[in-house]
Amino acid sequence: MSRRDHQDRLVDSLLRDRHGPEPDLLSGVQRRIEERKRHRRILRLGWVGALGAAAAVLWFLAAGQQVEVVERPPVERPPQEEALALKGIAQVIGPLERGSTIKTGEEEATLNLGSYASVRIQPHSTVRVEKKNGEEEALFLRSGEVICDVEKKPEAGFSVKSDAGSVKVVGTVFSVKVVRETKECMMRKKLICKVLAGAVLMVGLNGVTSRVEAMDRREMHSRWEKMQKMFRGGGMEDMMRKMDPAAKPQSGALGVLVTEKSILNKKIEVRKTEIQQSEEMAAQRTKAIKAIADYFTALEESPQHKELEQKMTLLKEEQKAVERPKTREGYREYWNQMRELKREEQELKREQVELHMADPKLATAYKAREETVAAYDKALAEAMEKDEALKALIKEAEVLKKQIGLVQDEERVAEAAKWQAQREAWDKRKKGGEEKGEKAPDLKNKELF
Amino acid sequence: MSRFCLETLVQTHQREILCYLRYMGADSHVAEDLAQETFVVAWEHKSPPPAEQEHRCRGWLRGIARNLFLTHCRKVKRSPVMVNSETVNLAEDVWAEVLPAEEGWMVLASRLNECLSGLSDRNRQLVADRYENNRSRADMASAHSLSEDGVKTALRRIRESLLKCIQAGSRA
Repeated sequence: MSRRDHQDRLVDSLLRDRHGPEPDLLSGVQRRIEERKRHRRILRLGWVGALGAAAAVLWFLAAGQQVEVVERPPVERPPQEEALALKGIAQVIGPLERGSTIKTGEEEATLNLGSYASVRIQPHSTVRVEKKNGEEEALFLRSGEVICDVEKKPEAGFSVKSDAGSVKVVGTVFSVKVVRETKECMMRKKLICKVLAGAVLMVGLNGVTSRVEAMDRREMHSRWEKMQKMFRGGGMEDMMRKMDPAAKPQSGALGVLVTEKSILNKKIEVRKTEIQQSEEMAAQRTKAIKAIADYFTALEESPQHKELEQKMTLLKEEQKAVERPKTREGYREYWNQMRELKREEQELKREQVELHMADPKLATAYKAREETVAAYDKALAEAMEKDEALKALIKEAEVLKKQIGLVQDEERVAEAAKWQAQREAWDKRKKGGEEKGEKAPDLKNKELF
Repeated sequence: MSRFCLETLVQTHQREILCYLRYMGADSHVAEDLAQETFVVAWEHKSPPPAEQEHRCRGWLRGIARNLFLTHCRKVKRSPVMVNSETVNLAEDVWAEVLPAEEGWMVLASRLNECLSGLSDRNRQLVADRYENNRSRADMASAHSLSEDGVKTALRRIRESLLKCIQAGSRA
């Protein structure tokens, strides 16, 4: 084709375009994009399936080895209708929500579930809050004991599950305890349920149900299972401690020291609060509160600030309205939108700062607020430094911390020496050729320090 | 690329891309199919040129469309269009000559309108019959008392004059 032909064809296509109908490619493009997304999703599902199978195999192997897997809650969670409330000192794996595991130490903790069930988790207990199944709230008791007080609610149930069975209830007071029983190299879990008021329904692992009335006590067992090698030998107490990581030594130097430390920490907090609320600090605090109130009054009176606030509220609502994609494909679009909105937010904040600088009334109020709050913080810090009682408590806590470290080190040294002695004894026997076919203690895999 | 950006990109450039594909030799169905595919590829691209730089966007989209068209011609073994790199380069040169990078598609469209209004009534009628009413050459020949070859030659001359007019406008 010559240059002239090309030119002719170009004008021809221009004329066709001018006289032809208005093209609408958008719907077709969008349809194609959706198809691509769907196709990729299917491909990815294939991968997810393969990975899921691999994970299932790994989980199966891990379960065979009695490895304790601490369950972490998923990253994206559906909104919870009713919040959970926990009172007392307890270790929570992940944020407190359905699916998280709660471990109590020396003291009991109280968990409020669904506003109708109050659960007192006894010391040295491990509980997982189950995901809500319809209206039913549930707990999984791994170890220890819980005392439950459930209000009667016809539409909602409550159950405590365990490895040895479960207890279902609608309005009653009862306690559930899980203990481990051992026999030679076998172990099983025992579920003990004591009903204080009302009645509960106990469901065994085989599906057999039994009703337990008030002031009654019933037990259920899981099957005997072979214990892992790591649990054998070393004495019953040691074995029980290894089986249940939540269980801490009831007696002994370390247990006493840890309890003392927690009491001391509480005392320190109480003393800090007392200083904060003392008469000396009261005047300073009132001054700071007044300065803060003045600043907010000045803000409310400023029409420009009001306007900026309205814009900010609208922007926030817009940000909330941007739908977070459930699939990976939409993320690019989502982040682009969010980036734009965040940029606008920054711009608004910059305008707010400029307003603060430009308006003399606002600037004065802001400065006064900053100065009085800083003065209060400084005075509080000085008062805490000067307080002899607080100083003594902090010093005591530091000494205790060192002592705990020393005791822990001693325990580790003793453990290492024990394993070393076992290894030496085995070497000696091996050299003498007394016992053949015996395996040497594996020091590599032992966590000595 | 956000949904909004995609919509803007499609609405701004769809006419030009369709016209470009037709100019390269694609029939109307293939042109529409490839134009849609062009925007899908653009959407999938990790770092598209900024939408503000329209001339860069146009060149980039034309590049995608050209590659897709070449792939299409290679796939279709009995393609009526003979395409090689020389032809493609020549076609691209002619396009760039008629439609300079700094000028938008709308400028060209308005210039074409101006040039059409400058045609004689007979020639305007010939253009309308051919492109607007889609009449066959035989029909047009009988309507305008010409032979079929005469219609062909007349239309070719009209197109040449329009091209000169457009180029004169772009130079001015």
